[in-house]
This record gives sequence, structure tokens and C-alpha cells, in this order.
Amino acid sequence: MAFARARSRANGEFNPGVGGPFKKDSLWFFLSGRYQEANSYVPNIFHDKNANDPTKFAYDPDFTRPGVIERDWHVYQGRLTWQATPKNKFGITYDQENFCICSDRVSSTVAPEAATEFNFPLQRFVQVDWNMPVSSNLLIEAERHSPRRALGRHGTATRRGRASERSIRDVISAQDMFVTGLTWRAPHTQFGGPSYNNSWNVNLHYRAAASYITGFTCREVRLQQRLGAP
Amino acid sequence: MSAPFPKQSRVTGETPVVDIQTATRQTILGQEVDELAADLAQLVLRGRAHPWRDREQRLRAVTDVGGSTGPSTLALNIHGGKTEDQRLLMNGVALSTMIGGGWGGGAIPNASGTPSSPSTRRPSTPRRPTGGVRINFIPRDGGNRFSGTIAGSFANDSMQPDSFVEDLPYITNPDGFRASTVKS
Repeated sequence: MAFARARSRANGEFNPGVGGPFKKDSLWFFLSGRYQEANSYVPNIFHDKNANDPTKFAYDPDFTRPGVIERDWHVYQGRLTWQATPKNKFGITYDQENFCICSDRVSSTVAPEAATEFNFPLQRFVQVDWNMPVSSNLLIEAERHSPRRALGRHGTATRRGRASERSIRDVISAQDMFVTGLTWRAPHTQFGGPSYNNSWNVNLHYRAAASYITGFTCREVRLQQRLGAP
Repeated sequence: MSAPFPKQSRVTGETPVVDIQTATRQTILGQEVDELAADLAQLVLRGRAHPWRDREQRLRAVTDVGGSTGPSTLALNIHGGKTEDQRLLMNGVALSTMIGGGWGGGAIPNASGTPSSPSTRRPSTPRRPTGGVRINFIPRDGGNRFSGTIAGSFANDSMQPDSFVEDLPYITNPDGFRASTVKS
């Protein structure tokens, strides 16, 4: 008999940013990025030596390769700010991200090859903004924001480029219903397989506002619109 | 990483001054910001730090001690409201798509590029179509001086303590098994 606890294989982030002027008092930039990972071993589950072998159905654990939930994030962001006139300032922000849980839902009763991949391969938004302080009390601003997002749940092989393996694994899953409850070989239907999805979301948002500010109150006229579909 | 606990904002009766060299919208936010969180890197910590949070739902029902699952976009609800009322914003414009009622999405702007992110919990008003939690990311502008920030962290299992109690090996660890002996 043995006990195992949850362990972290690697957990960390790197988040630099740098900015400065392209032209003094007029045009500035700021660039930043972040890489983050949170990979955790899953107690008491191991890779299957027979995974992806269409001739063998038994779960044969490889005790040198524990199951791991892998998660990683990448963010790249840039912003350009232009003070066109003393009262007119424009800005554009570009942000691109991707995020993956590869592999998701590995557990003590789900073998790594039976897990799924929850992936956001593209998350991008571009925002353009303008603001003009007409006086010390009146501010006018407008923004346009366009997020684009792709997401989906797949077999864990898709990101690794092993399409041929995936086709084998998607055919038949195995589950010990009576003794261990272990699922292996292919994702169980409760985890989204074989009903995988691959979705796109494209939205468009506008906002315009005029704000009149006194020492005690803020009066604002605002127009906001959101277009798109999930 | 700085402490995630929010600080109370102070409202004064002074006439605001619109500064055209920096973000003028900060003057407006001063009217409405209830609490400022010092660190936006972990939305999960932000949500849990707020005393007015009712509960969190959807993605993380299990407490994540130490950030072992990384950042999450959580749907927070407050005062009996709906999680769908939450809005993640960038410069006041919804960052999220319409997934799940528009409460969020997978995108989490990075801390270096978004130095401040006021969180509000006001009820629904004509300015706020929904009355839930609003987290507004404000992207960082460059300035006349070259400057930068850098932040990082790393941990792996060799830095973790063994949770077994050495003095009670036959109760908690009958056969001397140690998790750290299993390597990938």
C-alpha cells in the first residue's frame, strides 16, 4: 500500500514589460508579455504502455511516467499612444494570447490517454481609443474593441500532432466499471469525447461617452454597443 | 507578488483636474472605484479577497492553494446576483465574448501591461447594464522615459515539503513510500 500526494512538476511565470518614447511628448509605446505554466503530477495514475496500440486493450501502467495535468499560457501585448494635439490622445492596444490545458481531467481514475485537451489556441483583441478633455470638467472619449477567440476540446493528441493516434483512440474507450472505475484508452463520453468542439467567437464592441465632472458629481452620456455571437 | 488584499479608496470633495498627459479617465474612475486590488495577476485571488463575494462558480469549485492550477477567469457573483452579471473590461469596454452570458472568457491580460484594474460592485445603472462584479483592465502607456518591469517565479516538486509525518511512519506511511521517489 502506498500513499501519494499531489506534486507540482513546474509552476511559474515570466512577465517582462518595457516602454518608452518613439517621440518625446508625442508618441509612446509599451510592450509586455507573459509566459505562465502550472503543471501538476496526478497522484496514482500513470501512462499506459498500451496506449494507442489497437491490438491491446489492457491498461499497463508505466510507473516511470506519472500522469500530468499540463497548463500553459502565453500573452503578448503592445500599446501605442499618440498625443496628436494637447487635447487629443489616441491609443491602440494589441493583445494576443493562447492557453491550453493539455491534458485536462487526468485523475486517479482517468489515464492520461483518456484525458482531453481544453485549448484556446487564439485569443486576440485589438482596441482603439481616443479621448479629448474639452475642459477640466468635460471629457469626451470613444473606443472600439474587437475580440476574436478560438476554443475547443479535443483529444490530447491534437496539439502534439499525432492525428493518426487520435483516430485510433477515438474509436473505443475502456472503463473498469466494477473494480477500479478506471477509464483508459479513449476519452469517456462524460469528458466531451467523442463530441469534441472547435468554436470561434468574434465580437465587436463600441463605446462613446461624454462626461461632465464637477467636484461632487459626474454626469455622463454614454453609447455602447456590442455585436457578435458566441 | 504583492498581497492581493484590496485597499479602500478615498473619496474627497476636491475638484478633479483632467490631466491630458496621462489617462484622463482616472478622474472618472475616482468617482466610482470602491476597492483597488494591488495585484491583478491572479483573478482567483482577487475574487477570494473581496469580502463582498458571495461565491465563485463554474471553473474552479475547488480551492486552489498556492496557485497550483494557474490563473483562472472566474465568474463571481455578489449579493445574490448572477455570475452572468460579471464583466471583464479593457478600458471600460467588455473584454469578454458572449460565452456564458458574457461574464468572462479565457483572456487574462498580463500584469506588466495592465498596471491597474479597479474592481467595482455597483448595482445596475444606465452606465452599467449588469449589476455584478466589474474588473476594468487599463493598459499601460509608455512615457517619455524608457522604463520596464520584470516579474517571475518558479517552483517545482523539489521545493515542496513532503507531507508525510516522519514521527508516525507506520500510521501515515506504512511501507516507507515517498512520493518524491517517482520521477517522470
